[in-house]
Amino acid sequence: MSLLEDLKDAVIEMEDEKTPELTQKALDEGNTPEAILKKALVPAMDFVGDQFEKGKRYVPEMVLSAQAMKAAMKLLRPLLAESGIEPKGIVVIGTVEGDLHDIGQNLVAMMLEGAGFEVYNSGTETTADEFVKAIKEHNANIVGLSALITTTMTHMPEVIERIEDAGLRDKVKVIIGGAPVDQDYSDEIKADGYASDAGSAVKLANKLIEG
Amino acid sequence: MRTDRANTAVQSTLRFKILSEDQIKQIHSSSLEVLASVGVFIDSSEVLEILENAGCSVNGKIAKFPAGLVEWAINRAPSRFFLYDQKGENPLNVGGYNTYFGMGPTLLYMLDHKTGERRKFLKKDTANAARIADALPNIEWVMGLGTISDVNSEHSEIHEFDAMVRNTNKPLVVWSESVRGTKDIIKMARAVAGGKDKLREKPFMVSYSEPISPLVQNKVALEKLLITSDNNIPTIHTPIPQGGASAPATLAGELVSINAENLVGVVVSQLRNPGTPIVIGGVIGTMDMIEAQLAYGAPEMQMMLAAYMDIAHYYEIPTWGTGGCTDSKIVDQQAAMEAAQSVLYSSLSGANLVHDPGYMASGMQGSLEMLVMVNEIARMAKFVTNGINVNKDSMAIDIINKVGPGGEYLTKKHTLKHFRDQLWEPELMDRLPRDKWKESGSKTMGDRIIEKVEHILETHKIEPLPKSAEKVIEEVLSEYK
Repeated sequence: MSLLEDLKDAVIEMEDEKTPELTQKALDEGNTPEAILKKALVPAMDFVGDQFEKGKRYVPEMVLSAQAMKAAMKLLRPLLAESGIEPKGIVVIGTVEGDLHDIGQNLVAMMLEGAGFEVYNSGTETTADEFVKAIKEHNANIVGLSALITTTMTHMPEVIERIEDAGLRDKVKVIIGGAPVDQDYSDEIKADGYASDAGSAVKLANKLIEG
Repeated sequence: MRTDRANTAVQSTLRFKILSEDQIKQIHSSSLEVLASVGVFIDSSEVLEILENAGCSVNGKIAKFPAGLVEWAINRAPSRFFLYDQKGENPLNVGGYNTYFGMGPTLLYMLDHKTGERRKFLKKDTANAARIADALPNIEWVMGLGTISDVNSEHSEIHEFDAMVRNTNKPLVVWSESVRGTKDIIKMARAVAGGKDKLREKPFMVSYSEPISPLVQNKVALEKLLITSDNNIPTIHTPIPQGGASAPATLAGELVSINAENLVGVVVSQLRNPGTPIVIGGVIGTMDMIEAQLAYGAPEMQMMLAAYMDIAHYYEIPTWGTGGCTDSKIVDQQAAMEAAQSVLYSSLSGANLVHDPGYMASGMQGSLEMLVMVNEIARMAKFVTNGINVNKDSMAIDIINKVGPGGEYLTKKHTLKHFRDQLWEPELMDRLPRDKWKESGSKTMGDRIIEKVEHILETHKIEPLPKSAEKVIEEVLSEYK
């Protein structure tokens, strides 16, 4: 039990160099991947999230804990898949074509990872076709579109259109974010939701997954 | 006591420095190291070719800059330029410690002064802001304030120019998201100035473009920089870093990083057209680590800006400062505190073109009221930075002698002669005795500001454009339908 406690502490203490080793040890001791996830990693991130909500932890501490969890998940993910345990949700996220600004979407990606989502970050200047390809490849059920410029946000409806053309619109929820977009724009382009910041993006993703 | 005798009057005005000369040199040297060893992502094959021909090493889209090239460009860039109004008069001397306030670009929302509600930014907001600025002596140049939402988003920059040029005669800073837009704005500006040569001789327009922190130069920004450099149009090419997110969290580290970003603009502009005016600076911000927002009212931003102005003064390159802005959502005590602090810091540190009066809510929302308030703050700051003129006359020994112990100065000609230019006169600040203040409606600063906004909008008139300019603008607008 103390090994799982150590792993939980390592995530809370943002020690991403320690978490893979502790995870391997826990597996070697005979803990199931599911037990490691549920008894160490999830409680650790719940604790961190709670501290963040209370204003006791700040953004860098939150995302570094998420990194530490991600390092552990690298080992666990294939094993969980083998035993048929699906991640909570699979997210493809990217900044739309023509836009090189990615600070915001990277933050959202890290926060989603911390909340237990499997996240594939396509980075900047992701075209509609690249979004569709990534959705197919990773079997994503959420896609996040980001833009900082009013002239690039107009690529968002284009991505949604291409997802429809590919017959994937029923399988994937589209969420949008970035300074120039808002809930009205989300409604206008028939996205499934808008979030104004990284914390709200996690809440939105959770809500959409729970359906 | 020894009395100094000199054949020149040296009037050193009030200013401050954040960095010592050694610290400036350390940061300069570290920025050169970043440019030489880390390099910069340059998203333009044309610019990469220019850089490679000038001795940069280019690998893919990463260019690394030899220190000698960067220092050549710093020395080649002019120390100042003269920015005229649209009639080619009243130039601003953009350089040294001269400070001029104007607005910022691309806000998405407007705090409507009539309803107090936030709404999308409209073309009439650019027009109103330009007219308000035209009437305010201490808002000395105009920028569009927001991204116009009631036209096609790809056309907003053209409509922004149209709205500005019809509502102010003051110098303009223009912004565009495209090469086509930049070219069309230059075309319209030439018509307003009365021809290509007139615009070159007496520029009334500065172009704004923006690299992306950390160390990324995007294609459109670079292409705009080439076009404006070709045409000798002064160009601001400055980043908006967020310390702790897109720049190091240490203030010195952020200065090193953003200085490197700024120097890329200096190198590219000077290689393209040696001597063309280039402006350095930026919104040297930090990320609020609770809400992950860029903090516009943060004291660390003001300190870094002041430090960066020290570096720019060392380079003798004109600057783009940031001030008169707030993170508050309404024109309240926080807005006044943050605007006042940043206006004074900008003035004391000698930032040249200081943008963002009228900016609110972490760079999301604009306000006409803020412009009016900043005008009053800037009047105070300007008075303070003018300093105290100390000479035989102003020390007034003769009149002190005449009045003697126990006398009075109110009835003396000396007072009559000097009080108007020696004492600061409030316009919006309230100094009424309490009873008079109550009789006149117990107005708050906010009430007085709104009255002034409405008064200007009702009464301030702008001369119409010359017919020839009107025609060109109409032609360009018709291509954007």
